[in-house]
Amino acid sequence: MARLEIRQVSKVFTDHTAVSDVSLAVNDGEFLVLLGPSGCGKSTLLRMIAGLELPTYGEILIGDRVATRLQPKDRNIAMVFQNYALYPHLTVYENIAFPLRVRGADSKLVEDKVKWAAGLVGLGHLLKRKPRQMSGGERQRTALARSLVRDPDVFLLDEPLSNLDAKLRHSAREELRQFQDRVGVTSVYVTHDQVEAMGLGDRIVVMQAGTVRQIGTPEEIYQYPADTFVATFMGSPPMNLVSQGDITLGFRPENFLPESNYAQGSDITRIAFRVHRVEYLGGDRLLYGHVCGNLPETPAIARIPSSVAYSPTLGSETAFAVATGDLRRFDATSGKALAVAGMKLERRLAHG
Amino acid sequence: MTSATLTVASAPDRPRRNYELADVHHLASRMMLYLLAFTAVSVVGFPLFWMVLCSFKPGGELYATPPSFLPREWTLQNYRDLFVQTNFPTYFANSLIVAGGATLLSLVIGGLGAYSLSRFKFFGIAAFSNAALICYMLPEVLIVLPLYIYVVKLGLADTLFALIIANTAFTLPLALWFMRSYFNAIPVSLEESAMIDGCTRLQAMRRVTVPLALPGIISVGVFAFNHAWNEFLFALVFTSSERNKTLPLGLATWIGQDNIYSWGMLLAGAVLVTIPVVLFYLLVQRKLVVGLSEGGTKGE
Repeated sequence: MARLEIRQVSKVFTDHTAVSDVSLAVNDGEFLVLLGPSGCGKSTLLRMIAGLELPTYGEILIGDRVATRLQPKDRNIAMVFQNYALYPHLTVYENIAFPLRVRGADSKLVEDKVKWAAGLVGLGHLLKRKPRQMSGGERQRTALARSLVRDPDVFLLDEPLSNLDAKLRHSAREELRQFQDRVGVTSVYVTHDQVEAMGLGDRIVVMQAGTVRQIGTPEEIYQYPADTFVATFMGSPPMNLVSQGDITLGFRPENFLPESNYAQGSDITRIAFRVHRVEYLGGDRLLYGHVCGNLPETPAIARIPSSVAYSPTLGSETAFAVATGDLRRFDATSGKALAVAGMKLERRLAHG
Repeated sequence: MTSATLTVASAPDRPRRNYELADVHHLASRMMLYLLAFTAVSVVGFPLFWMVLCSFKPGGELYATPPSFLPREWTLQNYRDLFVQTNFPTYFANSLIVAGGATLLSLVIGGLGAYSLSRFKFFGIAAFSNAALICYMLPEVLIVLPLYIYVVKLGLADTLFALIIANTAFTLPLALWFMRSYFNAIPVSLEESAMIDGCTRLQAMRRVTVPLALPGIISVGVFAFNHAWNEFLFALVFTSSERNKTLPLGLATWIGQDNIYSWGMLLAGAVLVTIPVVLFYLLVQRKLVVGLSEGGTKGE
């Protein structure tokens, strides 16, 4: 177990810059998620931490050691690959035992450790199988067991759930998080799925085009996005953005409700809304339409819980409103968030 | 009434199968397949079969008209002559050394080279691999004389070592290309994973890549062995003394040596030449299972 620090790291390939000037620190035992659209450099950053790529600039520290130029094998890290990278010619037992065998551990210790790791992920009965005889979820757990069998300092995961089907992904996510709580190992998790990121991460690093856009707890990222990219990348449907002169107003669809929904005298900002289409999603209704009135005509979405009795009239201007506290302001040119008056946030462990 | 009879009575009759034209087609195509296979085996196999039979016939019976199918008199005289009158054991040992050495060198150099071609990208690597393939297309006859000059200059004339090198050089391009495609099919992430798990690159190659590429490596080994075992031209040009002759060369020199074609001995020699190759095939053919690398990655 160790702290991981990345200092001003950049990776320049011949034709493009994959990561530019990223600095961040992962605390001991923390679960950090690197989140971003594909091609944003998050996997490259992870590969640099693993030692599979050398950073063009900058340093990587694992524990107290400068690990920038260390071979992968000398870093005491473990990694779960997107395709699991199980060795097809070895049984599950030998796959899990592989890191120990390479280090020349004696067979008694190997046996104990493999049993322990396989037990942790519930694979005890499958040890004689070959990877190809197992389901996706079992393979994923094998990869997990293999990476944990030798007490790594840092645990790296490269989209380990993306090859699972939606239902399995949900349960695997839950298992993964429970598991991390139990083992308490410093983890860096790469994903492009914001739901995964929100659900798993103690903190999230949002990346785009090789740069870090924001680092924060899931609440911070969601409630106080640092710029318009984060605002629209997080949340589904994304935050509505309406430009108003040299600032851009932002509000989440679930905060955009009919005016009648607010108590008399509460601090609200009125925004006129014309609904075109209603999508019924069970728990919620999505109202697609345009912001109008004194604001420039802009497409926007409102999300109204089905429990709220409200029947929209299509095509006509309706009085909607956002609680002023939920309204975000961004600089129209740079896209950066403007300071929110009285930004208060419960600083609590996200998944304590 | 017992419960057993009850069950029998209530069990529904199995519905009768409805045969259709497709069933006939299936049967017919199976029969055609076996007929075809039988024909092919007869055409290819008969000379071999005839060779084995004739090697057991005494000298006179070989010229009998009409020829006898099975030897009227089984004899080992041909084999005895082979070992008593000729240097057959020397030839055999030489051939084993040359073929074994060339196979080993092809696998080691070809394996490492193919791995580099598959995994690393650096200046000139594509040009190199293309050049290697073009070299492979040059016929032996074209390169044997220039090679001979080098062999003499390096003081390797009339040595088995020269033969090993020449055969390796001839097999190497194919070994490179063949094994490269096998290495390409193995996901890089497997090696990266092995390296994170504590291997150096060479260890990762030995523990993960090579076992997965085994079918390809064995195919190349069989090819290299077979080629060096049957090779005639290099042996003819590079070696001269009786001591360093290989089997194909040795056998060829008996033909017309004293204007008497000792067919019996030749056939016996040919049988013995064939045996190691067949044994080698039998030994490795089980390992020639393709698709070993399937299923290690991907989650579905």
